[in-house]
Amino acid sequence: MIKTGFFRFKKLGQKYLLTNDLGDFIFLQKKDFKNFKEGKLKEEASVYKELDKKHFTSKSWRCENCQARLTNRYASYRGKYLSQGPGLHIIVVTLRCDHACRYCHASSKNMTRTDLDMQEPTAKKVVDMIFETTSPFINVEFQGGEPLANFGIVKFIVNRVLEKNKKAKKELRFSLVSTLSLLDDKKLNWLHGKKISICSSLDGPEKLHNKNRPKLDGKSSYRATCQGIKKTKKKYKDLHYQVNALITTTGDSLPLWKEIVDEYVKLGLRDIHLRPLNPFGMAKGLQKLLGYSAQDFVTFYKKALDYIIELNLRGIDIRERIAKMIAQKAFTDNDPNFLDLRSPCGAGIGQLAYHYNGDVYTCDEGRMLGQMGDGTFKLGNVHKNTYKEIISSEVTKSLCLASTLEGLTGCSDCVYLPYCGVCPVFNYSEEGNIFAQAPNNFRCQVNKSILDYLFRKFETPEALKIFKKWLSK
Amino acid sequence: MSSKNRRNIKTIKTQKQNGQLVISLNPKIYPLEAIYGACYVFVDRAYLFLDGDPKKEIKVFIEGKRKLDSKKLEELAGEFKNELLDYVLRTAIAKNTKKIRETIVEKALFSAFPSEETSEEEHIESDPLGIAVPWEEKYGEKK
Repeated sequence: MIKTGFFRFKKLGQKYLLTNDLGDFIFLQKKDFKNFKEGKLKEEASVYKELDKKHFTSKSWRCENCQARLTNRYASYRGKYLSQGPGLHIIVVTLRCDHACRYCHASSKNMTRTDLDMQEPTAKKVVDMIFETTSPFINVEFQGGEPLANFGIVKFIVNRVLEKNKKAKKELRFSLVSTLSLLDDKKLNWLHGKKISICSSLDGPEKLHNKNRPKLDGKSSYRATCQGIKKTKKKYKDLHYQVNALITTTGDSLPLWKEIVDEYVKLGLRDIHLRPLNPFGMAKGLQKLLGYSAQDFVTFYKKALDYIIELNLRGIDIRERIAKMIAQKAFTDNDPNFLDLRSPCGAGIGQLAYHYNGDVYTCDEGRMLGQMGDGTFKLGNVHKNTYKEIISSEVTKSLCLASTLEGLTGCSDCVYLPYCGVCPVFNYSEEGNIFAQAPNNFRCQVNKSILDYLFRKFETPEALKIFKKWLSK
Repeated sequence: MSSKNRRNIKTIKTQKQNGQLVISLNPKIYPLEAIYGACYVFVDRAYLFLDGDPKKEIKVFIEGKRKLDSKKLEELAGEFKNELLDYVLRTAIAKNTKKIRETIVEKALFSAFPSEETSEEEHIESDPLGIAVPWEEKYGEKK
């Protein structure tokens, strides 16, 4: 007879890692684990007290404090996004781009194709649909192609959203994802005036960045992006927004883990998000050329993270986003609500993606597949369908079901369930099925290995101090 | 555990046949859910097949995706048995905590979500059949 609360576990090194639904975790020595599961741990033992404090014992698992914390966790995490409706609205204002990135996720087209720009009637319908969301919070994210190539429509949408919000009174946020190569002072002043946060893409040092992200005019994309980041940082100094950049890791990036981190430090970027390549857009066809195994990526991640921790110990302020999010999930009840690491995922219920022609997709990943000619994740079109038709689509329901970890084989009993998430669109793209076979799934392999590494790091006082410092800022 | 002791265990029998393992299990000791769970962990490394009688004996056939020599097969059998034990424990924890866990999670979810109940006023406003409209308003004053 088991005399414990509910917990999940795995053997990690010489110890056992235990986690519970609260996201609390504890490492136990083999002997303590055996005694605990057999109900033989003495209540006076310090390890029992620790288990009790973290709600692993039968008694503390049933107590009011545990119930209150679980309620709070669901309220801040699942309660918010499951009951509120889509808050993130991604708008692809054009497919044109002045870059020809090797892995282009958006399957961008060259700058002459103005027929691939979003037009005003479509933009108007998109904004109308956004305001039908039941979410009290709206984040409009402009993407492309290169959104600055159709800046007129960006301005039109922002102004229309602001106008409509005078009545709707939603909590608003705008963001723009751009290479920044088309950013001039006029555009920057306007974006700053409207408090639009800016996120760019920086793959690392000049040679790597230019190889991964060549510009169509043959000039250095690295210089254009770095100049844009510096200008934006200077302009945005008076706002609390941080200018962010995202890295896309190719096979060429793997040996350059130190140089990539150094590049982010050099530009004064406070966050780096070490993420693997997605199999969408052109990347799918080029996977053999650009790709790597899960183990290769994990090795890269570990080296880079160790270096980031070392830099922090030397007083240099840079944070790794995955590590920060996992630490937030493990040490607080406040979930970061990152759409890739939540259950269920955000597709359709947390976000919608609007293509330049008005097609609506469950998420940006679904839209990328749509652009490649696979419309599986298309929910409708703003000109033809109502919000109700879009939101109550069977596709949305299926994705919700396929990303609720408690119902997934390989996830439901995984020790990392409280910290993880799956992407059914990724699974579909890789395995032809929105339900993944976890042990064979690239993302599962990467996530599990990174989580193994992070939880081991949580046991190291020096690293733990850094992670906790990241959470306090 | 010595190999002699290992051979004496009657609840698990391991055989090697044509490069594959056949592990026979007593279902009274190892619940079917635990066997399924343990098998699933190996789908990246091996092809697995189950046979037998769920009341008497379950046979697990395991064949490496890559050809495995006798030593590797033995290692795989050992790993499978350890994983099986973990899954027996997981199944027991899930079973023993099921009721109370459902209650706790239900209560937490119920409290966390905003109430969907609407106010009395809103009910009256959405009165499609006009049930809440007074007789006099609907048909005029009685004379």
